[in-house]
Amino acid sequence: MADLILLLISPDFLASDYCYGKEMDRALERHQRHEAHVIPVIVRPVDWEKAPFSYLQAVPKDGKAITLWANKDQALMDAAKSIRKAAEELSGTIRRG
Amino acid sequence: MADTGWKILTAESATQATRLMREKPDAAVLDYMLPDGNGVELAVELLQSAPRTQVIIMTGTILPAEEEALCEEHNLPVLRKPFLASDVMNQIRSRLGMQQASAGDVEAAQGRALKVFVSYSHRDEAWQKRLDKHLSTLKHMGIIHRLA
Repeated sequence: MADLILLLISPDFLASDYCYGKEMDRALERHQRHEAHVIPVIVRPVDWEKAPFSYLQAVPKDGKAITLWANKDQALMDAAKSIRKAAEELSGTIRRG
Repeated sequence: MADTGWKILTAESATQATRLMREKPDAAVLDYMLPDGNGVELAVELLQSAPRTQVIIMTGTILPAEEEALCEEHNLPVLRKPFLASDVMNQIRSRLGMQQASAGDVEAAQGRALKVFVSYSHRDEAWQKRLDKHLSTLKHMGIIHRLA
């Protein structure tokens, strides 16, 4: 079972019954039970303000979609840095089953 | 550096350096300004084929922001000129020492690496792969372990 779950958010992710309906629901349930930590990675622009994961800290910075950054690698680096910080913090806090 | 006992290979261009990297050296010291490219981009490229090589960048100029960001991302130390040969040797020794230590750390961390799962639409597969590359350092450090 995963400790850290990354949701790559895009119009296709939100439109997918499998991603949105199954994987995301399961991920958020595990997040709420503190069994895993979920990070939404906003890949392409889509209206996600009312999505069930909108209360989570999204990456990259300010939840700005990667494709909207002038330098996509800069956006990915920003996302990776936030993921690293979360992973380092999580290392000692995730409840292992 | 000849009396260090290290086997030293030299290259006068990025093309030659790329050829030498097939030898998988323990360390590589690259000038930022190369006749046929820039040392930072070359370092990133070389690390793809020889990820365990410790690469050090030297420069007499201020690196552009993009190259500075690449150095930070790939954990490349930058030696700014002027410096002494002993500075280079100390940097190499320090990096190789860190590598040996981190190899032990990685082994110890294997069992406690966080398992990471990425959920994505198949249309975003290319983005998943690009993000994966940016997370590769965490995998090498044993902080995360990617689930298929």
